[in-house]
Amino acid sequence: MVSDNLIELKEISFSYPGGRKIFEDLSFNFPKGAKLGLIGANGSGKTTLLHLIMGLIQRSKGEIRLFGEPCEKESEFRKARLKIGFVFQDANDQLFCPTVKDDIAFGPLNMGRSQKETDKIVEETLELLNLMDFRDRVTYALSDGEKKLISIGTALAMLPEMLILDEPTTCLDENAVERVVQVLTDCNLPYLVVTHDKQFLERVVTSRVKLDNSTITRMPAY
Amino acid sequence: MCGNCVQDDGVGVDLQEASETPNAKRPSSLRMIDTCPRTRILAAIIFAFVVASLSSISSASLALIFSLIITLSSQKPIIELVKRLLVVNAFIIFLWFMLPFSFSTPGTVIASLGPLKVTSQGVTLAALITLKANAIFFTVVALLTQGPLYEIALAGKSLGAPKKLVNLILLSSRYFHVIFAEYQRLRLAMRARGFNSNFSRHTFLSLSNLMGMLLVRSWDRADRIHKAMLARGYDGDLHASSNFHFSQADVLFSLAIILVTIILLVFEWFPTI
Repeated sequence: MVSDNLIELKEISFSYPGGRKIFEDLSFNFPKGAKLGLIGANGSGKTTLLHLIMGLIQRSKGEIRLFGEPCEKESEFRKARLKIGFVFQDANDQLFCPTVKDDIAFGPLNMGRSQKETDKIVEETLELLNLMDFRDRVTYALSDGEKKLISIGTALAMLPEMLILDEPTTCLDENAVERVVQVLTDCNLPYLVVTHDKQFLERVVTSRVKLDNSTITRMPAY
Repeated sequence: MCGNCVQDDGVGVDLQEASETPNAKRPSSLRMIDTCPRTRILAAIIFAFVVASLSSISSASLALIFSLIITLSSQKPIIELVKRLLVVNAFIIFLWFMLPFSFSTPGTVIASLGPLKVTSQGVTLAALITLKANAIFFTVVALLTQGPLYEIALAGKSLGAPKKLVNLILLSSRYFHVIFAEYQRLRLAMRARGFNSNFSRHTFLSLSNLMGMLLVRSWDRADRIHKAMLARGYDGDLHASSNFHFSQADVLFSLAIILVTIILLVFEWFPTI
């Protein structure tokens, strides 16, 4: 059966070791081609949900299917992860290489691409971001806005089938937010975006869901 | 980096807990955790000096037995003790490769391997060093790892230890886990981009970049913390309150240590008793 959902969570339960229960029997579908916003109060578990989808933390119960394939083991998640560009909330967590070029090349090299292919991807990514001059810049010395754009670039460089973005506009000024909107529009990919920024959400998504107390409910469309 | 992205700069150095030193509420039993950290530091110093001065195998053996008793009474898990045993003896094993063969003054040859002569004096010296090193190491570790590290640092401070050393221990014990958490977040983000460590150039390059980045950020964080401390009037001195007092447990413990050192010295000076 070919699924129409890129992400399918079925009755997921999760709690942190020795901690409170975060999710109980949570179900969620991310349809093909969607541009979906996920909202929810602080501490409702939005980031935890994203990390569960990526297999970065393990659920205690339930079923996860990514791109129609069931994901149980690390190896299965690893395969699926390469098709999801994940952008962390704090760009500093994502950027760890000395220069922009090295950081963008990290993902493609992990996927086993040759140096030549990777170099080409780096160029194309920088072009998409409209940051061609940044190739040899030191990541650490970039502004917050530039860091965010580059960290979206590091995800795009893996040529993913979809993006997941965790709070992409925190700490960004209007100008930087504008450029993030531009990149999301240009990249032509489905994405799931978690944010508190209503104005931003209105501009980039076509539908919204709300996470509250282990349930995900559909919100009225814009 | 903007303020609310910073996860934990821990600018408020949390030393309040230190004022609640465990004091002796149980006069009947001698539990090491009930003793004041200052007493333990002094005991460790005295024991270490006395053991270092011993020169006979028998007194050094006795010192090792005492140190094992102290270690066992510290109620640490056995696995941790075995790990420590391996650490200290990993260095000492090299002595055993050298000393038995290299005793300079003509000694009593007890065996020979080709041109190499094993002297009994060399073996005795190696054994003596092994016994003393283990005895000192186990005692010092047992005495100083009771309770949190900052307590030992504060006790050291009240005993007049160098300010820089005290601050170093205090701040390291505070920030070690912050840096470790940062390391874990970076590793998580690397995994999200399909990183799989194996024996390749790419792996080594990525891991060294990771370490480099961690170093740069720690440096930067240290700078921010320092500035935040200065903003609150830091003058190079952490005025952490510490009210250590000498309790009944300390009296008992001090007497025990004094007794041990006297026994060791008597054994050393009058081996024929």
